[in-house]
Amino acid sequence: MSPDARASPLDSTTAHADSTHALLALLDDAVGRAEAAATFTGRFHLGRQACRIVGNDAALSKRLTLCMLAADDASAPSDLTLTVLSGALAASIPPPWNLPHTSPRHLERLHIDEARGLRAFYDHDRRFWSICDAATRRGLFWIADTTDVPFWEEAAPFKAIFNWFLAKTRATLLHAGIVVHRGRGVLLAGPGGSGKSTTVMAAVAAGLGTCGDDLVVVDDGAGAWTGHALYDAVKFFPAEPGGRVPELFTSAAARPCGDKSLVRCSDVAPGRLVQSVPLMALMQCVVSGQATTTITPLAPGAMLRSLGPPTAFLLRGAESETLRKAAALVRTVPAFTLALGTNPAEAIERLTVWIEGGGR
Amino acid sequence: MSAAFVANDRIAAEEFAGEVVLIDIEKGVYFSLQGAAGDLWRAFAAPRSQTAVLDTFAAHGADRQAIEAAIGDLCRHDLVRETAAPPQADIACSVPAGGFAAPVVAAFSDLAELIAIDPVHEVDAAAGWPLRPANFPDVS
Repeated sequence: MSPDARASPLDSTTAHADSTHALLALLDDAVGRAEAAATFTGRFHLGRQACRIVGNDAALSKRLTLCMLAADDASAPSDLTLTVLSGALAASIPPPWNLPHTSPRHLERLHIDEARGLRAFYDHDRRFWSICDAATRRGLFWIADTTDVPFWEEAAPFKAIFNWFLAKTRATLLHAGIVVHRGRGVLLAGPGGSGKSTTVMAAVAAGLGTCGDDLVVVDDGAGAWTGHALYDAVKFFPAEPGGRVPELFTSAAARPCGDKSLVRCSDVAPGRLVQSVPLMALMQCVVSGQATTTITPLAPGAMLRSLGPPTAFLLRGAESETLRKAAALVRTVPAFTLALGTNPAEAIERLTVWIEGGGR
Repeated sequence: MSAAFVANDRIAAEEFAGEVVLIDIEKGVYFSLQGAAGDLWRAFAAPRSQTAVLDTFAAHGADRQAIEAAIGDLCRHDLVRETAAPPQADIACSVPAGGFAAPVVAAFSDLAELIAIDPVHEVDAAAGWPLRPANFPDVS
């Protein structure tokens, strides 16, 4: 491949397939390098499935798996094997993107081969590849310089690869939080600033459980829609006024995560991170500015608009699958608007009563 | 014979009773089609003549001007586009109980910022990354 390679319409299909083969060769090469110099192996939960992670840089792998949920049996079979390769230690610098332009998605440096089940993304500025080959159940995160790891990758590592892998299963990632009470989960959707994280933190502070505040896995694999924790991470603005962040979180040793602080739920409230929970309701969060919180029915289409597009635009490359599964979820699980009052603790009291009343 | 139009196949869509939700991934815009606009979306699932669609909807009691405007909206947002394919004669148009509701085509661009601020879109559309468009301003 050359940087100036062009493809005419007549040979674009062949050129696209050639790019897929080049990326598979890249994957083979990276996996070989990592396996030969592996200093880290671990097994983590990925919804109902499990992911084995192998890395050649123990420090990087530990950093990137800090917020993942370790599986009990590290030697059990895994559904996905993810290679984490750093160029810093093994002189293995990933090659840059130089694929011929054969798809509009190449404008995003995103290569999709639906037939092969291969998806790949190259971040030019931070010089890393994310690749997922669903056919061989292999993933790759290959970064040139570990100091270039973006801060969001620590709170939600490998989310693009996981999203692409899950696209071929009954599960999907969703940009949402989940609050758990008495074995039942309420999924919270909404854009940034709508109160998802604040509600999750208030719930944990009040003794409820959670599957996460920003990205969760959902599936209908057991006949009912179930939410799963993927990341043990909660992010918040440390200087948010008005005491909206519970002291439980502000007093914890937090890691900087962009403008936000990052803490692990398991560090501040052991046992409150729930691995899986059946979903009883979907709620679109809105900040009402009123003194009290209200819960009112919401049309399924409005719920999908709150859940599908934000996830699809955040996690590119499997948008149709994301929208289809989000729609299936919305068709099955009742939807509501959670109009959050000004006091997060009051909102949790209202939500708790609502859940205990079976959704009334 | 009037031009034929068909739904844009790169638009992801999901239907509910009373609403169709669509996503244009490349532009970062999503849409809600309600009332007869959802019926129009279904009608253009295959190539159809605009005139035939208009005639069919009007014959079933829909407001012809409103339907024409809604088709214009669908085209303006590139949800439906002109096609050289021969139009199919039958129109997938089932009249809802109570007749057609007024068509509503609502576009939501609140998430487009996620796409617009991404520098990967500032590239040459033909050559792709890493070549920038010839007219891209020099910000160095």
